Amino acid sequence: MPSAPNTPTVLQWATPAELGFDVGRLGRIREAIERDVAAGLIPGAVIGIARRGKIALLEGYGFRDKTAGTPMWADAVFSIASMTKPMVSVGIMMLAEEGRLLLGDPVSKFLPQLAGMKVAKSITSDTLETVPAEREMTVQDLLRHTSGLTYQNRGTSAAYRAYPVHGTSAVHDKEEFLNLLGKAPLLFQPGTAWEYGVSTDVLGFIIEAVSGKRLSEFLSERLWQPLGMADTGFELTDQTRERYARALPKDPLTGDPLVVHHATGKKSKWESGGGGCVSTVADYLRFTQMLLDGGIGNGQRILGRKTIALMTSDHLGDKIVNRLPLTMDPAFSGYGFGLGFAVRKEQGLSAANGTPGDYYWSGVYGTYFWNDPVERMTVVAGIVAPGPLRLRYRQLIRSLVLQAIVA
Amino acid sequence: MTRSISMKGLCALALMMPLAMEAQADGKDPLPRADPASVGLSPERLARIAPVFKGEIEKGRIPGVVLAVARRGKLAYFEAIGAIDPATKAPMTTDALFSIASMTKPMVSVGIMMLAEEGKLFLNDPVGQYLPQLKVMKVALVKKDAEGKEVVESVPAKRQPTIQDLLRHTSGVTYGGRGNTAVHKMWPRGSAVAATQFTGPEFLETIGKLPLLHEPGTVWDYSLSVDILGQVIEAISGKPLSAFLAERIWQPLGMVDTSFAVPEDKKARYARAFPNDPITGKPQTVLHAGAKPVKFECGGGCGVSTASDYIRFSQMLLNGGVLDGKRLLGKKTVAYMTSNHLGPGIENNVAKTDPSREGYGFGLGFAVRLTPGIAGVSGSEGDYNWGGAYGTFFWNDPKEELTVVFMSQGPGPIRTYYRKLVNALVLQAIVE
Repeated sequence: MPSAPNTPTVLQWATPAELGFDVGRLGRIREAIERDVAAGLIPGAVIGIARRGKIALLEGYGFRDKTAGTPMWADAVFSIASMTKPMVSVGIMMLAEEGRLLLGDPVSKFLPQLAGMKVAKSITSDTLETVPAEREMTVQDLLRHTSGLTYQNRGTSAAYRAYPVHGTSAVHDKEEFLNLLGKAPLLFQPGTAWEYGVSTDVLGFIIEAVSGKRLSEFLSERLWQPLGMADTGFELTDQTRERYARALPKDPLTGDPLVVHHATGKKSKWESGGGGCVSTVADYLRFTQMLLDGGIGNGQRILGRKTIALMTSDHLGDKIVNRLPLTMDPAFSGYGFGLGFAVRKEQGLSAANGTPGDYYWSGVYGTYFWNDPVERMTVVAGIVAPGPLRLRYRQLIRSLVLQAIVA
Repeated sequence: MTRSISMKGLCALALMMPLAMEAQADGKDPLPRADPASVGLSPERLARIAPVFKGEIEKGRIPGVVLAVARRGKLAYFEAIGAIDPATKAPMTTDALFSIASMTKPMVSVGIMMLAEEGKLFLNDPVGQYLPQLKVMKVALVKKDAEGKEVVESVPAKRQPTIQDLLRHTSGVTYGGRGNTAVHKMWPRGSAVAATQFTGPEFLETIGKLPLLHEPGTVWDYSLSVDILGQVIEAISGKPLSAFLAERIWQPLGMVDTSFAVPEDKKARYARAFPNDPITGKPQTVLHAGAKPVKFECGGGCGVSTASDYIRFSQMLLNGGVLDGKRLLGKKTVAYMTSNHLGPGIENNVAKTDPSREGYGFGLGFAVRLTPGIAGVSGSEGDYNWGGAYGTFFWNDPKEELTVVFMSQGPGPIRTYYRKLVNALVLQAIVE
């Protein structure tokens, strides 16, 4: 069944039929992806599906490096970008479980540079005017992206332009970045609107402040080692470099050159909790299966089950403006946001199939995962599609996987 | 079956054989028969149905009807009442063919979802990606000129209609027959009207230039959307709609009498409406009884079927996408299609097609019941239905494991009366 000689064992395998999949229908995944590989839309993909705690499918398709003609095997290493965020969110919740921070704590308690932040009067204006924040942003705001923080590249108005360059592209060291961020305007009053941004980078800084360790060190000790995620980290290593999956040189739709951080060989200024990691589909499945199993994985208790339930519940409610479908992906209407994941509120409405209570997140370079507690299923897709096509692959993988469930 | 049959299996086989052979010999039962009481339906209460329809027929309100009811996968009621043709007075038969009008839509919606399952389209794709004629749709802006006359201008749509919009009728497309505004006057009145007037390419060329009645994704409005979906299927599959549906739905399910036309050798089985509406006295026509040939196979209303065929389709949906081992859709896809897709930001006008549909939302091809109450008809949360303008109707009730197909040719306003009547008569017979 494994398509590579050294496919790592994550969980036990079972036949797809035992796990409620129609084998012929599961074969449509390969058909669809190979069709797109042949059409030059993506170099290749690794898809991993586990259901009822067992692996139904973990396969590589197409090319890990199209230019070199290297085939994609299931052990390929991907830049997972924002799929770093759920891991950092879990890290924060571990500290919360230990009482070392509270979700209601103001962020400035840990990072004084972010005290007394101002709020932009307008998110579209070409000149910047601010008002004081009505309350400080909290740790919960960071987890659910209601801090008011944004990313510089999400807009062109004065408010966005005031942000320092973030994540793996940051040009300032951590101290300088925090100082600049503290002077940048929030886009919304804290706790009033969902806005994607540097919130999870800030959570990474909080982990470092509270634990006194580098983010990589903390995550390694508390998450990656216990779960056996040997290929996950902020930098490529001698073990992972040779398995690193590369983007097509040019975006097949726009013709723009495709640049992925870890392919550049550049070292980032600081470890970005919002988007700095590499991982494999098998490693990430260990992480998502832990979430699905209520906080336990590889025999290790990572989080309590009530904590997972809290994280995977909608935290936006009716009063917080949900700008997720509007600003991220219109296909995912009907999703709210929990503490690190988008959470499905109803069966219908979304243009992508799913189940109420399922939760997902994705990476800007093309990776995607979702957990479906009702179907007891976790799916991880390793794809390098950094351009606008990535949005299509999120829907494609959902379609292909869900149509194969027959029991 | 042929290999290694255990003793237990043999006994079960022996028990099943006579039933199976009976169904075969009869040739008319679309699903295995069951004694109504064995599937929780009261035979006495089911017996109320026929006299009610005989009364309707005697009063000259409808020529004849066929009603099929299946519960827990078994056919519990299957009757033909009245005449197949008011002119000849020949008796209605359970294998009569009907013009099913908008009951074509659920089949086309299933066809679209099959393509979605294969990754050949995404629900979020703009329609223009497949039909270039519809690439740049504009939205109507009605103004009044100096003399107070309505003038239709158009503005660019905030976003283009998607496949999902077409499936749930939020594309902004309408039916010309659904209103009297200046915008409505520009649109074809209905699916059959469009199909007799235009070829497929002419249809797309024509409507591609018309202004949408609403911004896509904002208002539910019944429409030519599913005719467009039929064209999407043709564009993606490279086949006529009938060929695609035959290959992927009708043949696998054994729907031998379902198509877009009444073939010569089946004409005698084609049920006819009264020439005039019995209530209003106005002349009435049914697409396949008329003289005008169809120029394209319209996904919104050009289908012909029988109660037998359609209940195999509806039972497949109720089973989560599979019937007799033939899987058409994954169970999650059926669950998704039969969920409400009208979010809080979408104006729900489903009840404007029939006030008894208050309390229904809309999924991908069906009206979906949101609550046990509110609706003017009985039902269960999660039940879903659709009807045809010529007098046909079906619904599925997943909670009750019930599927009901009602066929008649009564194209006038009486059709909504019969939907409610059938609903009442069938549901009152459920006793456990």
